[in-house]
Amino acid sequence: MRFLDGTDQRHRQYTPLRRWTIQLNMLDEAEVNALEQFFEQQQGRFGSFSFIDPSTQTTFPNCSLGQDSFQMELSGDMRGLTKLVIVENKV
Amino acid sequence: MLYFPQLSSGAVAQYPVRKQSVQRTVVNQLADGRNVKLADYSAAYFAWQLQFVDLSDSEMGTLQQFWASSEGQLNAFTFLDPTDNLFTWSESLGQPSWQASPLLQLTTGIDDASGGQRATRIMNNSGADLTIQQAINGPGWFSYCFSVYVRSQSASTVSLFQQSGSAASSSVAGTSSSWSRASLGSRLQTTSGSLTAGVVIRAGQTIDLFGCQLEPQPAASTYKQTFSVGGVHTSAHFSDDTFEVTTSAPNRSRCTVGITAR
Repeated sequence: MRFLDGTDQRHRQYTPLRRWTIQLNMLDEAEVNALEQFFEQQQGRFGSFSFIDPSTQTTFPNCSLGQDSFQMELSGDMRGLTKLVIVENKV
Repeated sequence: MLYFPQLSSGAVAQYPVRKQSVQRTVVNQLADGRNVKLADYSAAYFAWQLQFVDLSDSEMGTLQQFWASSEGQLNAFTFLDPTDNLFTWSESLGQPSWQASPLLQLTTGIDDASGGQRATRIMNNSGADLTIQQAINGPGWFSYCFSVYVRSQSASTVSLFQQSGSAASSSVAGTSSSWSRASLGSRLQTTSGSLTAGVVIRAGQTIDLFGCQLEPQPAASTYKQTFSVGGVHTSAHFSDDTFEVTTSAPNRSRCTVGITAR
């Protein structure tokens, strides 16, 4: 909130929510397929699941995919690539 | 009925293959930061981008003729996803998509070849050979490979088969107490618009099956698990009304096609 004298007052509206972008390369077909199946089971952004942050090993119990589109490319054996965005939901 | 053609190699596509699975979610964000979501499953669709290079004149002619028959985006055709397993419920042999004799006893939750417990034990206590099979709405004259992981308590054999119309092929593979992958690749001489693939369980035989897979290509690739949706898309369309071909020499043509399916 900004006052007439130019100063402002701030407060935290939400608890910070995390977001992960996971780039996956050199996947085999089964791995790509498993990720696609997971995307479809989640129905894109609709579903929720728990996610373990790969850098801290902290479990976030309420997360969703941040995308309604799953794109993958197979350019050879063991050469699948895709990207997933995972967002933490506010409880 | 129109079917997206296979190349002379028996494959539907060349690398690279790009696939997109799209869902639609309606999201209403509340003032406190929470979200109310609605899944709109009926809006879901798949899209593929297939790049073809070094096609022979015959292969390119087939593709061009097929595109002309489809009249670009206008007419629907059946597309067999080259990245997927054509079977539905590949690990749930009790689902209605599988046709199993009622005399077969199916036990689920058996240790599988991937370290889980998703295999199925099948017992045939009758006096006759019985089958478990699944039919797909794919052209019978295509090249297919049916594969499945098999295991038995003692050394034995298992018979795989493909059947379309009056044409059929089969093969016998040895089994042991360790998991092994049996496969049957064949191209049948038929004009039928469906294909059935399955396993014959001999009289008195008990066998474990895991990872049934049917692919529109001559040989098996990595196993892919499926649920209610398999790789047969009977209402696919081209995503463009333009078909562009580049020919650099005799029997050296290339093109890119986009396909969508709901």
